[in-house]
Amino acid sequence: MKGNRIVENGQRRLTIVSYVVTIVFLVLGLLPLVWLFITSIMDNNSIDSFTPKFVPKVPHSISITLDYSGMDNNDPQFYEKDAMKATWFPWMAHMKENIGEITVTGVKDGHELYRAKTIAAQFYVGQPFIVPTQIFKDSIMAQRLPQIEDRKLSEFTWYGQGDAVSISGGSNITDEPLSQQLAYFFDKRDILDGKLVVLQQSHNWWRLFDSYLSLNYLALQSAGSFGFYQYFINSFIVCIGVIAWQLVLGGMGSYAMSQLVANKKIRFSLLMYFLATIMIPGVSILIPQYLFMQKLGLLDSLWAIMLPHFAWGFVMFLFKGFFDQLPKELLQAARVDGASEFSTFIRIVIPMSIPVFTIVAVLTFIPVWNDFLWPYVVTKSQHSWTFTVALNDLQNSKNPRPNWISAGGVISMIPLLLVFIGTQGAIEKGINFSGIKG
Amino acid sequence: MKQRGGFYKSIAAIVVAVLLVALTACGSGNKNNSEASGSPSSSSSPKASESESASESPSEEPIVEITAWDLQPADSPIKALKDAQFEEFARRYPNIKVTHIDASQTNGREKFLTAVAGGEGPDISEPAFPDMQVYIQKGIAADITDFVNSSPEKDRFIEGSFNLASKDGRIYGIPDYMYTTGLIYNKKLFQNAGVANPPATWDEFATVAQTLQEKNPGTVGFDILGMDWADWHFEYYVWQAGGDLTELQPDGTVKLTFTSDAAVKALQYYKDLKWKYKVTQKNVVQDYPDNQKDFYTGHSAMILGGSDTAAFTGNGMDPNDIGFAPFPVGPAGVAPSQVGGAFYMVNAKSSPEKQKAAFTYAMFFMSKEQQEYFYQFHKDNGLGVNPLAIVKDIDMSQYVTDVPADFLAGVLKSAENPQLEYYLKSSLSSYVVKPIQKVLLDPNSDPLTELQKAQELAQKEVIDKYNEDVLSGVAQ
Amino acid sequence: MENQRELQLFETNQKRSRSRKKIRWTPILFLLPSIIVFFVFKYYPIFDAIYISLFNYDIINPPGRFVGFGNYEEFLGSETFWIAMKNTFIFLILSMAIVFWVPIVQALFLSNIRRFNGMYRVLYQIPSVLPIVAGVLLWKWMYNPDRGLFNYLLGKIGLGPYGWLNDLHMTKLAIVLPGFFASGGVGMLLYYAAIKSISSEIFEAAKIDGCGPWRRIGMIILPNITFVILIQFIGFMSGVLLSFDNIFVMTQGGPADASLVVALMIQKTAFVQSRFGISAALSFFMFIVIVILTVIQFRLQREEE
Repeated sequence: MKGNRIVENGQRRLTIVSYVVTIVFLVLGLLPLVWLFITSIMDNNSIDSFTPKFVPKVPHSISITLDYSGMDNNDPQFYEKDAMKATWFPWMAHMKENIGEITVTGVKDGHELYRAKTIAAQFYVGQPFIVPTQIFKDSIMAQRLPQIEDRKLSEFTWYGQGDAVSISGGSNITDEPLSQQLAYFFDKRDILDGKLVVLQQSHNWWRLFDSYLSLNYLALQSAGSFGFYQYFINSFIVCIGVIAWQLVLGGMGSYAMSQLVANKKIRFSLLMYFLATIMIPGVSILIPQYLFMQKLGLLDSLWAIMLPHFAWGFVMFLFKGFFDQLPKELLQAARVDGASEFSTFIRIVIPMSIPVFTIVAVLTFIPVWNDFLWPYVVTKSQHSWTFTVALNDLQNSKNPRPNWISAGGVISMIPLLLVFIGTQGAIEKGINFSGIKG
Repeated sequence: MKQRGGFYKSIAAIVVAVLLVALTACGSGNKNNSEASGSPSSSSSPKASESESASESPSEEPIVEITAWDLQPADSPIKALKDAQFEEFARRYPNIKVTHIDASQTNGREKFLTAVAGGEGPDISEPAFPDMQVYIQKGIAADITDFVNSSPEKDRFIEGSFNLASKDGRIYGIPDYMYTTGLIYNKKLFQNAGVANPPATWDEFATVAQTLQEKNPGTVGFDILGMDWADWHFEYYVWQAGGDLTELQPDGTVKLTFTSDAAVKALQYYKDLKWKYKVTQKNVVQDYPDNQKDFYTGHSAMILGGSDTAAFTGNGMDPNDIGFAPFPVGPAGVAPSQVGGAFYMVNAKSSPEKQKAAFTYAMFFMSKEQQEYFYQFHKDNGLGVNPLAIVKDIDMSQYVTDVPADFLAGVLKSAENPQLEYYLKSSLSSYVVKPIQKVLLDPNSDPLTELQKAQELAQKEVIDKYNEDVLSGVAQ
Repeated sequence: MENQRELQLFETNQKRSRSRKKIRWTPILFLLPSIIVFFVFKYYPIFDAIYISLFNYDIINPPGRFVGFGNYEEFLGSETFWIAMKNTFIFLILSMAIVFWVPIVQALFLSNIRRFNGMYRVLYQIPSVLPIVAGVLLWKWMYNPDRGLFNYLLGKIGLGPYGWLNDLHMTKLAIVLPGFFASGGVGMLLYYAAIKSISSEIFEAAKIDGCGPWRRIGMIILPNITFVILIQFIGFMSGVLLSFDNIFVMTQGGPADASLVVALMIQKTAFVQSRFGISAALSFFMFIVIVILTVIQFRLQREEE
């Protein structure tokens, strides 16, 4: 066949059309994803603007030097407060300006006193409660300082008497509109204790990806230090739990149905018993399942999300189809050897069933990972949300930051992508196995 | 063969073990965290933690545990305030242990009902005015008449504030806070367009909005609310046209007046704003936070809202640019301002000891000291202060010094003419929203027809049953 | 030889012991967890749903007033329900027109490409990997009539501006459209495998008969994968009838019930309106519909076998 290079009449045209069609579909399919990624690194003002912008703007990087020469105070807290004032207040006042990070260096008598750094990821997470208004007072920052420290929303390193620093004379303020505005802001508001000596503006490419980091800082009340990523972890735990059950106990059940039950009638009824449930739509049993979970007191836990997924007729069907094809002699030989059914299952059947196990795992993972309605209905407090519920909530929250939603979306794709690519071969094999294609 | 079997067995065992550990960790972790009452990890004061003080001070009374759904989410600007209050309460009342839960997500109301039904509703909650009526009728609100009457704080509340939480002489809630609503406008955009004053009538409103749009290209005159609680704003227009959406009858039953003259006029006005005057945003199905975003990004000139502007100033808007005015009057020549607010409600299904503890908890927040602390915090942090206090003994003038004078004047003026939201709003909202959306999206729709349809549906599905229950005395 | 005889002996022994009606615990143990789980999470709830549907279910004081078929009468007579049914049907038609045939076409043409075929197959999977919730939010932005990408781009070529989710007539289309871009995935692989499994002899015969490549698609490939298409279609129908996630996140059934489907109505009547009896009745109704569809699917599969 391969050597036969006789090209038919319409073949060339067909091939060209095939390529065109495929490319077009692929591009159409991937375009929204590209847009998703782009918006995840754009700053929010660009996203919200009324004419869509396509190119993400690199955020500005501001570095400020404050001089405290001649001051008596040696309390690090005092200087930290000043650094925070120099960071959070001007940033809030210029929230629309796509600032990526602000670094403040304090100097005293020619030596470095401290260094503070805050990046956009931290700022946008903290802004709603650290600087919710345009009122900038020393007393306010004094109150906020503990919150900034607790949530690690700014880095502050105290040197005391660090490296020597020399500040050149003349104007040390970058000649850019933003820098000029900031300098004017400091001058007009006069809230700092130190004297502004240097204000420089530059770019930092890494700050484009801050929306992903923001997800980390979005700490929940009772989540670990993972922030938003906790939700992905929840989804993951739920998936693993369901897969574990399906593989082990579902597998055992199907195996029994296939190999261990002799009576044909019983086998058939069991099969029907499991398969009939495929016809029960999830939405039909939503309410009873919810009320049942309530009675069990499991509402608002990951168990509640997981348990209903333990009963999937389709999985039993797939398993049975596969187990039916197992060579009976092998099993009989094991029995003759005196092995118990259980160890036969473990030692012989499982190793042979890797293909079907992989397929079931993948086919289970995807819908459970994407599951929205059930976790939405059954969870109450944030710590038991899966990421689907969290993403939906992000669009409703008081401070919807579009690029967080995009970043969340991009991250949510990664596990699925990995699973898909990793098991591509197994999936195709499984399709051949199940005979769905007729 | 044998080795592989053993290998898989151990894998399975490990997976199961890991799962169990992870789940119990999650489970107990969750429990631990939600029981960290009053002493969250962040911003914990140097004071002794609540559990220590409980063992320090000798308590003769038995310990009562209650739950409250008032834990602030991590990014709330008043989190520090609330946490401090929680700690103070724990210090003063060591025998009452409060578990705080965060229920701030958007479908909180749905979750509340089902939680109560399942017996895990909070002992104390803060339902809004309209919800209160429904809860009393459903038997969820505890009868706290005796608690209130024997409380020394009773007379501190302003006249009539208990009315909405009372029924047949019994009291079911403690007034929590009150706000009024009005027209919020962007002074800068007004200046640009040369408009000196906010509009005072419906006609003026339409023409002013058009002028604003012309003179400020790229902006929208008015952000109309067409999604979610569209009826919340719509009801004002019905009032301005001289009527209301429902009428409470003397015998306790409810009569629907969706098809009244006033409602039809109001809906027609809505339709005109969108299709005739063309002064609304194109995306009428966006929800209220998106409308607010339009406003604080300077994209729209007017919006309806409450007297609290934190949503705008917190997103970069200069408070001096925000103006507040009473609603423009409608054909009936009136423009009542909606009075909204919330009550503290004790769970009727809780035990008597828990109810008493919950009552004490609520009264704590309403005490003069805590109220002053509350307002002082808002003032110190530049968060908008609601100039209307629900207790008599607080001088609000010291707290509103940072609010621009004309804004304050606007709020006080609108508070002169208060009106409560239409009766049974909670249950009827979804029925009213439909004609509103229809009219905003379909230029060929007829307001009267749509309202008729909505009224028939609501009558059949909600009112008939409600009235039956009322007349047969099913007050639970 | 020896082994075989031993085996036969063993089997007869087994059979004898079975006929002595000895209870074999092992299968029972193996099956028990699954049986219990299926009962608790599938059978019990559906019976419970039927039970609830007979009452004016009061969640505070269950079960409330008994109304028998009252709930069924009520929703069958309710305009909202028929709107939801109509919408569900329209969604079905739209999905068929816009989404269903895409994987088939993709597979058809992909089977003609020899170079880097594997890579294309993988690339086709990627769009289907985006979780529905994330994808829908993305599309919602793009549909924004004030700021969205679509009106902007269409405006550049002189079309629009369209209302999309703000237009009562466009809403359903807007909800179905993302499916066009993101379909494919495993479905496409299925069709591809089916096409590839058509024996090459048939193709050779057709070639010799003078059937050109284009005609081959119509005359050979399509007829041979008709069965797969049919089976997929039934599954597709069930999926569309029950679709919830994408509609909920995008429009919540609005505006003005333009995108209200029965699945959404079930959630709304229960969790927003607290009318649990009606919700259960609707649930049971959907169950019956799906049962009918699935039985048809099974019958067809049986026939082919």
